[in-house]
Amino acid sequence: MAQRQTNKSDDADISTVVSPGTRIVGRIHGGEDIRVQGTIEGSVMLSSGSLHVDAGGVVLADVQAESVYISGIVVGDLTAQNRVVLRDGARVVGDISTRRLVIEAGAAIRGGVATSEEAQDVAEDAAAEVEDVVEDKKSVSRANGARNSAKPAARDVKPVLKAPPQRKSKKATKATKDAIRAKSAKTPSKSSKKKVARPRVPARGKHRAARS
Amino acid sequence: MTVRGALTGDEDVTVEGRVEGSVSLEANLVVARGAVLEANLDVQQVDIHGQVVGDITASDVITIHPGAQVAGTVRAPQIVVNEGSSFRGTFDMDVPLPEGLLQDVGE
Amino acid sequence: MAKTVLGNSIVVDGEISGDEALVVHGSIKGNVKLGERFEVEPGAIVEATVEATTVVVSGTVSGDVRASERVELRPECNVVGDLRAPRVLIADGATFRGRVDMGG
Repeated sequence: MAQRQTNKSDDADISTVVSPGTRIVGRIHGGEDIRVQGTIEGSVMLSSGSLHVDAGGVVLADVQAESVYISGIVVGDLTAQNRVVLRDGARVVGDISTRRLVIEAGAAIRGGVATSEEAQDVAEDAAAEVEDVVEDKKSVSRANGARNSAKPAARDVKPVLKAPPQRKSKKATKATKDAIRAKSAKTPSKSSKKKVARPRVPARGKHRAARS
Repeated sequence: MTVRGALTGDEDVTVEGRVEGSVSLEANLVVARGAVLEANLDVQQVDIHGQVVGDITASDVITIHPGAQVAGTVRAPQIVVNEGSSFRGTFDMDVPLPEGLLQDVGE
Repeated sequence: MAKTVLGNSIVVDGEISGDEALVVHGSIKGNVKLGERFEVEPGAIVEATVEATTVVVSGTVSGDVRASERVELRPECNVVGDLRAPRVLIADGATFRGRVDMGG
């Protein structure tokens, strides 16, 4: 990631925007925010700054940034030191690795996701607050659940939490395409509930082949 | 309270203790803060404040609240993740992409 | 009309195309093909083949520049490459090495 890099902008009024009629194919590096309303294909690496993919924006690229805010489409893996936020209308196919994840109603995503934030602390703080409330509620669980309440349950389970196998793809477009293929070729898993009709992404793999 | 085995039903359920096995409901499930589920869940809607290790399928909405810890595969038409939760696993949602979008990717 | 702006920490290695104006403060390496105006701001470095309607250079360009309307080399700019446009304006103080083809 050590790339030729000019100094960070002093001019606060210059903000990088890829507007709707613009398409960039290749590698993009930088140390500032980028707003995408057009199309980017390749890779995006921001040593500092956030990537904003607005509604209508399309990013077919692996992305590394401090934070990523998505209302548009992203096909590629996302790595964000700070946070990834998927807003209403966001469409994401790819893996996400970040500290904090927010997914709002109306966003859709397919891929492996790992957050590194310890929910533990948050959980325990909040648990302390809620404790009284729970205590008051007649709860069978309390009565014969002495074993559980002796120790914060969180501690018990922690080792069970396993990270999913992480795929590391560095080559931008090629890897992204492979990832898409891999994902769309993925056999629908065993829980094929009838009530959930789920057409797969009209992407690569057999789905597309069948069509043409 | 610890439940081992399959929990099924068609009424809303709130779990405050521990469940190992599976939960299958034609209704809503609330995993309270402090609750621990090592179970696959198949429900209409689920609100998770505690911990779930297992695959979760909801016909409606999965909501992962602050402080929740989830590990597994989640499937639902709508999934909401709040800041302050932790997740490890896979999202398996329909992601409708515009026709032809990926054909533009240089072969 | 919206325009695309690349800030000065931004480095693009590849191809930029579109029908909107592009203003670059950072670096571009590769190709620029626009149906609109292209501005290379002071401090910007473009190592690319450029095609646009109007090209205005205040920074550094190394590569051939082709404009359907006009090329303007402003003072302080540094351009190495061939220019091809019906109108070419080279300001006092501009540094330029290359050929100029104004059609004709």
